[in-house]
Amino acid sequence: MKYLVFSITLIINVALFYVLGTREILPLPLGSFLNMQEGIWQNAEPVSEDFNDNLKLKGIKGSVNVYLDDRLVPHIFAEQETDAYFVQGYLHAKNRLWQMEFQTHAAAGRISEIVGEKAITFDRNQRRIGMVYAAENALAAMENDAETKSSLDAYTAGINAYINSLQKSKLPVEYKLLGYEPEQWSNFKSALFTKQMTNTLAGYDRDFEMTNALKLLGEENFQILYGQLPDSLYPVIPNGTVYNKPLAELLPPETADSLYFKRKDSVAISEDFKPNPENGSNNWAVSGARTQSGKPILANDPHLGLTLPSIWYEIQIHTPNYNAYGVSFPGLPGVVIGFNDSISFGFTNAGRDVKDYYEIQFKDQQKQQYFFNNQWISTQRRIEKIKIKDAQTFMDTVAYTVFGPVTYDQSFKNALAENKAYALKWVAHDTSNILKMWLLLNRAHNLNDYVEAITYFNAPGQNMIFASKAGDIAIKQQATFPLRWKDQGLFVMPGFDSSYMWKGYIPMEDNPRSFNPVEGYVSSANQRPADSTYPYFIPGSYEVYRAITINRKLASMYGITVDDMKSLQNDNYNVFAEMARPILLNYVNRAELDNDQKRFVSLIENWNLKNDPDEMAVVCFENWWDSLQTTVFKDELTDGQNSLMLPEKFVLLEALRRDTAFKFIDNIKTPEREDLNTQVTQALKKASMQLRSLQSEDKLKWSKFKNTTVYHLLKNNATSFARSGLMNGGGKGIVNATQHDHGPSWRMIVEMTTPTLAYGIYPGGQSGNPGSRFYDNFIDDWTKGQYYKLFIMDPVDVKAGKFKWKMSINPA
Amino acid sequence: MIKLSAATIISGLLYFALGLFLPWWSSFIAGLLVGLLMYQNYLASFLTAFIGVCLVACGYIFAVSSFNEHILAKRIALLILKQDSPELLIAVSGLISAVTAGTAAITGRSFMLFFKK
Repeated sequence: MKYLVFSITLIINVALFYVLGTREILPLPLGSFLNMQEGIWQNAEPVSEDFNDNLKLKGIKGSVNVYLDDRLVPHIFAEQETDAYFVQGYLHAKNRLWQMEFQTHAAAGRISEIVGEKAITFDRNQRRIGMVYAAENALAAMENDAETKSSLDAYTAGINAYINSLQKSKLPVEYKLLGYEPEQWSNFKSALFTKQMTNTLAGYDRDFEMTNALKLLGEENFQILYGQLPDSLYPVIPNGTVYNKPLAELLPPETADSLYFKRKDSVAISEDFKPNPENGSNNWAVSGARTQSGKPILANDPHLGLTLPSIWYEIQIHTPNYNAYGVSFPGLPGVVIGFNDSISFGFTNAGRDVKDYYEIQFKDQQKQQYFFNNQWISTQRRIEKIKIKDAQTFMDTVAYTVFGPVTYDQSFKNALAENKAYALKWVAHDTSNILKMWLLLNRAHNLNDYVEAITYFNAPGQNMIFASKAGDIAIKQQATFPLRWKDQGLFVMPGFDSSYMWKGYIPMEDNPRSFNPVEGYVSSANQRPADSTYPYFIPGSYEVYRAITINRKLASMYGITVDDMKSLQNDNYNVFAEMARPILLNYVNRAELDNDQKRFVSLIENWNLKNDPDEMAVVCFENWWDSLQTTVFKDELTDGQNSLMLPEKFVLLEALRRDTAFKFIDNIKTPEREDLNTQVTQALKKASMQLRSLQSEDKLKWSKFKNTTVYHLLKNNATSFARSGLMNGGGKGIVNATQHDHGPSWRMIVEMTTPTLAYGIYPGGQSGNPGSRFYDNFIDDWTKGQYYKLFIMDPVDVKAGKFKWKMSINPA
Repeated sequence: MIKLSAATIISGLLYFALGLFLPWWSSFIAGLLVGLLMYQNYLASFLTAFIGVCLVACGYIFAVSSFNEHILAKRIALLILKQDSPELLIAVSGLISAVTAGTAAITGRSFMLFFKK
């Protein structure tokens, strides 16, 4: 009996040990995951947590004090700048370690190490667009500059000081969920972060889709559907500005007509992992002549994917040389969007096309040689080793050409015939030290300092806005942008002829800019930077309508206050609908509509054109217009399995405003000739099926339909770490650009008075720990359009004890 | 009764103390030691280890989660149990340690019988 009991219970124990200690049977090792002393319970931060601390750390040179306010925003007071960056690194890691490492693993194509084979295509894609190669080039440039290197070294040392002090039981929850541990940080990881940012903001590209569209439609129709200059364009630099003529006119190669504009075949490439083209922002600065205080006001709200932990971490850095406040990127030292005691600065995305594909011909499948300028040229082959959790390492050979890495070849993702492949030319690969810009901006005093600082920035192209206490306001679209002949780079280019290569870069002094304009304000909202008189060819993915609303409002505003700026950032007016609604209402055949459809029309008729959270007309309008777009274009834009893209929203609207007999209205797949009345009515009938269903589910209100959600970075694998069902208004093309999971990731308004008055908020919290009350505590206020007054702490506040907690950090 | 209470208390204390420097399987060790060192029948061995460890684990976790106002417990319960129930997560967490301690206690007890004449 005793042997039997022993044997049975021993087997049970071994089985329990195995089941609870591994991920083989259950998705999580519940034994350790739920253990009170090493599992997730160690991440359950008491709501009354005492953040006071007294630390002795190796690597710091002097004494640093960090004062934390009631929102857990750190105010770092350091005698030396490098110590400030050390402590910034320490705090970033303390609050956001998992996020920092995960984002840089993603940049480097290393997600398979964490989640296994399901991420292999993503990782290969990252390697094949040259993310690691680009980060290596960036690191070389950053470490070649003594100041940048010492700042990065200190920042890295601070992160590692935290990692080395971290007990396994205190690892962030996500490490416990996914079953791995952090590795040491390095300057290279910061370089990777800059490339992740570049990919997010300057990695959108549609060369393949445009090539297929040109082939399908021919040049004339292509220009109608994919033209780059909207009638309603309100450029960053006002219409009518006079630009310098370039030194020489750029002409296409002689072979362009046959080899480029009239290529014979389509391209069977479908790109995955494209960055969201909506990654953009609003910014504006108004001069003292337009404000109540007589001092400039600067506002900025970058529109990015809404994530938890947030991409931003609020911080103040106070050193003898400068006093900067704003938001930082966990992964980089310094303040990224913010202000100091003299100036303020912010950014919107330029959206310019800085990424082109070249079709190359390999000699054979070995990918060792390709045909270029009438001879076979050797490639440089880079072996990418992709480690995979619970599987063998995957070796991917990526050939590098004179253009850059070959992204698509027979081995990835599409089998292309006859050894054809596509090589990528992208400014992200260029050597540059963009971090230097932020280090200089953080301590800039005036317009000249701003102008000098931004020259270090090569990508991703940004509209860099500026305001100073001295009264200056400025905006400049800054980066290195390729110099192109007209239409160069819209389509896949021949890669065997050097005459199709970029002709260098547009001189930086010719980048569009506006300093202290007579209008008394500058602004940008991801629209095309200049009108058609700008003497360079500047394709891109541009927004049209936010800029119209912003410019209309700013032009009419005087005696501006911070509250006016808050209202503008939260403005829900739909200028697109203002222009499109008359077309829908004037051309719908009401006699053909049933009662539901009549009700939807009535809602739109009585709509105040604001995308407010409770508004039902927005949902009706959006669905109707989208249905009309599909009805009008789908018949022409069908090309088997080749990738195509619907034209931008402005194209149909402007075409119909110009000519209601627009040639694409007719459905070419039917024998009848449809007119606008028919198509508008048909579009409503199609949309009404979806609208009826939404109505029955009580999802006709805009906020319910849109369901604004701030996802955790693990997206659908951690939905309980997300915040969904947020009652936000706004939307695409609206100044309040809040979409389903994308929108204002940081709203900031700075009035350049003395003392500086600043307000800000982001949809998240300072802590990355889902078990902290500081994880998502800003979200409800953000949803309501509220702001926090930013506490710009000075030594007097320190003496007066105006802080909640204090961390003293000294050398070990 | 005194012996049962003592075994229960010792199980809980051992579990807590061992957990300070051993990984999650300290519950097995605590149960095993109680089974080896405390002479009881199988049922008593199981129950004393189970109850002692369960009380400590659930009590500790409940306290930690309460100080956290169950912020994390709610999120984890939804994630892995698909239930908005911090209480259920706390119970599951405690039961895992308790069951492993209990079965290990029987193993320890039966092992000791090998040496009993």
